[in-house]
Amino acid sequence: MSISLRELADAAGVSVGTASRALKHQGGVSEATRQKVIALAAALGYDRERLQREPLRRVLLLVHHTHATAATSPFYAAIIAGAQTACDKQGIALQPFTTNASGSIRRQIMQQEPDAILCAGFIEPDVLEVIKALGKPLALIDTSAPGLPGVNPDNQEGARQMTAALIRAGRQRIAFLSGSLAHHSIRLRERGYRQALFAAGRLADPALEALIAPGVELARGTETALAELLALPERPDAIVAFNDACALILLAACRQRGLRVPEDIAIAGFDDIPAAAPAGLSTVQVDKAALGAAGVAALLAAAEHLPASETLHPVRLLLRSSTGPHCQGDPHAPA
Amino acid sequence: MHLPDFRNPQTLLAHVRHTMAFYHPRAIDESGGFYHFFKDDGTVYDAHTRHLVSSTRFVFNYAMAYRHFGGDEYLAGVKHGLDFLRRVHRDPATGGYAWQLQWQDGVKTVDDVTNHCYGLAFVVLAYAHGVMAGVPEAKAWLEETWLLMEAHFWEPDYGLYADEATADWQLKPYRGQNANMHACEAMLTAFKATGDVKYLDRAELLANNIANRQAALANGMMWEHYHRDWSVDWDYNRDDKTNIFRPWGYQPGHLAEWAKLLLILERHRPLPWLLPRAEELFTTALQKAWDAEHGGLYYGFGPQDEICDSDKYFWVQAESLAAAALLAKRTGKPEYWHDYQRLWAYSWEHFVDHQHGGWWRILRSDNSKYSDEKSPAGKVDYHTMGACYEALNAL
Repeated sequence: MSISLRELADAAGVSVGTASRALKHQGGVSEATRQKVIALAAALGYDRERLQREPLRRVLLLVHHTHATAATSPFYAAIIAGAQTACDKQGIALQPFTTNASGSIRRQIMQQEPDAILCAGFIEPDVLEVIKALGKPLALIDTSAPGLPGVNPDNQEGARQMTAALIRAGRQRIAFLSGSLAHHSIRLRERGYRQALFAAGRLADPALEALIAPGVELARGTETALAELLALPERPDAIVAFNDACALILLAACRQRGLRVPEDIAIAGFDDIPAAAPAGLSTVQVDKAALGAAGVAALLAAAEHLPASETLHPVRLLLRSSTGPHCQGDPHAPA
Repeated sequence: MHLPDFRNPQTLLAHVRHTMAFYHPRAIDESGGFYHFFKDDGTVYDAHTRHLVSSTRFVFNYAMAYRHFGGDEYLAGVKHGLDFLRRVHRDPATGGYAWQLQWQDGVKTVDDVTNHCYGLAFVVLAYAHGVMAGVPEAKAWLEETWLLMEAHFWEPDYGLYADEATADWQLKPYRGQNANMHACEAMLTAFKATGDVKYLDRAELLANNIANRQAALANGMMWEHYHRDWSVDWDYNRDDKTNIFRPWGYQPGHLAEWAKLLLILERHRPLPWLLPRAEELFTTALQKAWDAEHGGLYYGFGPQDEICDSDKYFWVQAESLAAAALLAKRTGKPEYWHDYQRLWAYSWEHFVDHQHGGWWRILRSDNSKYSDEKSPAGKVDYHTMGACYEALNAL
């Protein structure tokens, strides 16, 4: 049987209010007191779920500093906008936030005094552990971790469909240009690419999987990876890039080298950022605003202690000029 | 008035046949092209003036009739129209198409050599329909016209087409949404005719830049007129509100027409913004411009929601009923079927000439007639038959 908050406060020698603030990771409590209360709560069997949840007023939306660059921001800006609209409807203040890698993550977040936290995109596992330990409602967008609610686009299916469309269009040597495989979404995109090759009975030539080295800036990394692919004895006739920002760099770089897109080489991306359509870039459309809104819904569910679930959002192929005039989607896919 | 069942495809097909019977065969000029000016009873009242917009729209009419009803005479009409475009409207020296000319005893005199992007959009539309009707040469003409627009009107920095140029292709400063809307329609059709995805890419880009980017500059709706840099020109034709191609004010008919185009685009490009935007535009048009007293949609409204042109134009009703049908089918919402029904009921009672065929072109706000000129240059009931064909996709 669980003890009451008063019994816990008495045991710790603090007021009920202080015990509550300590458990909720709110301000006005010294770190030593907080640790003492939390340790006692665990030892005495206080059921932290019983803490009265107040309605969420302030949500922190954490975006990794590597996502705040010009290349990646269009994708996350659209997710943030979708989350913002959803929060506005609920009267919740949403604060996009990027942590500074050099300081204490915990302190940086606590200074923002959030009621709940959304993480969008890549996050280091150890940083996620720090955030989980804050005990606040937590949900993930465009990433995944065991036991936490998360919303993701169907990365694997999108890359599978794109690769399959290129195979149907007669492309023989389809490369995949990957970013860091520490990213949940990129891992699954690569898997979708391989899945399509497997389904078509193609051998997956390891030379056709190029990787942008971790820590290298996107434009330079893409150029280097492209140079490697084009230096192969048999160069690729199509490249599936892990995202649109990378694919747009490929488009420009291929044309600069005198390669005709799509005649000599087809280029495809992922995400459908705003710059994709004017460039005629084939891509996989992700409803980024819906993803942001679904992340907020998952967070609200977490705040209500509903069971954590991972949801996949459907994606759709957008076959524009960069994959050829007659590249078609799967005729059997639902329209 | 007895109303037929507008949800029955046969009703619409019969109506199209009735309208075609007004124009065919009397529109055919054996010496080349078509007559463009008809009184209510079909009498030709100007046998010589030929306008690019009518010359191209006739090709659409014949091609669609041929594809729906068959018949060698309709296919012959397609070829007859394409021949006139190539041989008479087109100037091989500049590649341009005469906006208006006189055609007498097999000799042409050009009245107006201005190059309009709006006109080229309809040239593309005509060639695309030529391809779909089975005229193989039209495919090369389509590509040729794409390249022509690319060379002289396309402005990649803005992602939109410029509007008007002199005979030697010097661009004028006016920019407008109308030419881009019809270019979007033409590109969607060209994609359907050829499967070439560059046309679809262009349609998507035009739709996004007009329906989102430009609309954001003007209260979320498409204003018609812009400066050279695509900033809104609130004053263009402020004193010429009935200008046939460039009236002042928001055009509810164009909001509805865009709603229709966005849903057609969505069939090939499943972008999440298309449906909600189409619903907004259509709903806005009906909320702001439906005449609760006499029925039908007014022609124009200003930035304060004031009705600035209260006349009723045939094409506004026709495009709106097509958009209503597509929205109803796409969403399953009964209110759009309701709108479809009331637009048809109004048009059936006030616009359709049940005796001779075709629709009146323009009525006063109280639905009384202005004149007995049923179809001057540019009309040819392309909008009404086009609306029926499109609505048939939803029935």
